[in-house]
Amino acid sequence: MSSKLPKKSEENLELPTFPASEESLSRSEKLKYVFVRNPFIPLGCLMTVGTFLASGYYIRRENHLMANKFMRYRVMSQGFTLAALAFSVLFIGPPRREAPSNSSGSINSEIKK
Amino acid sequence: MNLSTKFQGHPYHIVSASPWPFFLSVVLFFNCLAATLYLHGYKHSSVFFGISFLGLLATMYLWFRDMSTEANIHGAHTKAVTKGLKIGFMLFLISETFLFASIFWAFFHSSLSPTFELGAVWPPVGIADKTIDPLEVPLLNTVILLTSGASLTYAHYSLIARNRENALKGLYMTIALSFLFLGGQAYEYWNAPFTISDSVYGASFYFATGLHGIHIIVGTILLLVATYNIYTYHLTNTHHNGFECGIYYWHFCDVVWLFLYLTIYIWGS
Repeated sequence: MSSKLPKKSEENLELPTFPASEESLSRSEKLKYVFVRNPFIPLGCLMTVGTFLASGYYIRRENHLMANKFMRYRVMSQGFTLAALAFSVLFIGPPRREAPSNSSGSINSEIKK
Repeated sequence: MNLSTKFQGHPYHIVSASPWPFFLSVVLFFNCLAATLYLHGYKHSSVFFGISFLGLLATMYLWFRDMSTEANIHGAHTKAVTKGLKIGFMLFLISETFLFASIFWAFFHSSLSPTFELGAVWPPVGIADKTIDPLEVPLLNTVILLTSGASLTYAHYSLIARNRENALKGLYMTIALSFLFLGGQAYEYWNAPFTISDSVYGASFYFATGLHGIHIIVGTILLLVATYNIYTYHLTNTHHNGFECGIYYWHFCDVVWLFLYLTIYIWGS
């Protein structure tokens, strides 16, 4: 049993497999992929929630002008998130990396056998 | 003259008995009943629904009118009362957050480990090639909602800066955009190739987006009331609690939509 286990150097084959080419993905799959790849999208989400909460804090403190300012920042943050998403779809796309072959002795292929 | 009957020694609003909560509950009951009958194809149920809906609108108008009178004419909404109303509204928004969190939970519970009955994949077998393209109407709706957030913030700033005309213009634009958003949602539902009964995918999709749509309708009603109040000079640059809460509610709906768009439309399709 132990002889069938992969060597240390083969462990990197356990990384998530990437698509062979950009063309092999549908539009929604591409979007899904770039959402994971582009950290500006979750960052934009955090900024949106943060500015929204700050706006609520100033509403509670009766500071109308500051509340309004943070509402503007909230709109900007959400616009930034959407821009990051659009940028990813248009310019980044999925990486052009060949998919590792399943017949090279990885744990997954061993299990399948 | 007994002064104690003319003046109160505290800043709180002791509300008088109002018939509207009872009226509203009765009207809502008939509304639900009529809607259920309509969905089951009973004769003349659409007329019944129309009448009960008019009753709902009338009760809402009367209750809003009473509140506006208490706030703007009786002067019942003192600083202490406004503070209480704001705390109440924030608590309401927290409960709303948990409501949406439960829907997201249901969605992720079903999508992260799809059951055998679904084909062990997400979207489920049979629906995978029928999901809505996130770059079509949903993207347009996202942009519309974001623009409405900007126009509403403009209206808020204009009111603070004592510019009534621009505040009204910003509100008109926001309301128009909200109707556009709802039209987009209706178009999407009308043309969707799956229904609410098409597995847990359809259930979670329509539950999440439908509940958000209902929130947009409520937000639009709040903004319509605020527009009326500004139009009739009831709000000032320092005293506009209802309007500010309505604006915050709208921004809340906008933030929820961002997460709905990213998770259900993009990640989940």
